Amino acid sequence: MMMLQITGGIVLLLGTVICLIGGLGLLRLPNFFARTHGGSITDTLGAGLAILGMVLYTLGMEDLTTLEQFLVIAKLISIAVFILVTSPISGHALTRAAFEAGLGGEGSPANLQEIETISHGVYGPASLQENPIEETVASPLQEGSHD
Amino acid sequence: MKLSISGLIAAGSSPDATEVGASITSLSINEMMLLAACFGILFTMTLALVRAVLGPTVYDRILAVNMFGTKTVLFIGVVGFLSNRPAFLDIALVYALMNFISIIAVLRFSDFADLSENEVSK
Repeated sequence: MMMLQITGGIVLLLGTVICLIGGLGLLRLPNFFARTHGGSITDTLGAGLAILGMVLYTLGMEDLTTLEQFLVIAKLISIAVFILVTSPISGHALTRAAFEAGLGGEGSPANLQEIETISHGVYGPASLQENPIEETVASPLQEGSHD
Repeated sequence: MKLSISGLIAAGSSPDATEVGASITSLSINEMMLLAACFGILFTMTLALVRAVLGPTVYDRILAVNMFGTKTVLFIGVVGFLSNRPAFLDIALVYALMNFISIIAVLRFSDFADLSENEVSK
């Protein structure tokens, strides 16, 4: 099973290289939002690949029983699922907090009054102020509800 | 006491082992790849720390600390494989949870108070 362990090691090194690229982008990109973009995306992908590499490495270890392999792989998969789900959430929350603090310059909410006077609204040329959505959902208090 | 990586592996697999100080050329290729991944993750953590020191805004520092935490999780996992202790993965899982919750708590705090009120420039 040396091939499986070596494949796992190569995938782990690939994930580490992607993390290195993200760390380099953290230093070299010009402003905050670009750094969030580069850092968060490469963070998620690098962590996912690194843990996949560790899973392949464990599958190739011969001196473990199947139960021990299953336990280690279960823990690794739970770490991977957690990082894959929560790392984009953290990135989005951070970017939104910085945007509402006014870091975005022209598009930040401090200038919302100017945005409303533009002919197309916040949502684009067909703005909701001109074409409001008509409610078609019947409320439960009206007639015709379930009995 | 000179402790090398082979000594770490020997100490992990049998707690009574006293051989420390084996040379670094006696590693197999798997352990060399794990060691290279260790150094790569450590270097990325250093880069994140540089951004945490340099960052002109406080949100740069929060981003750098978030990245540092995720790399710590990976580092604990790889060290667990190097030292033959699968219990390190529990520690990695706990740290992943703590990292996420702490970032969300700091950002929720920024709703109530201005995070950058002591800074000179944004």
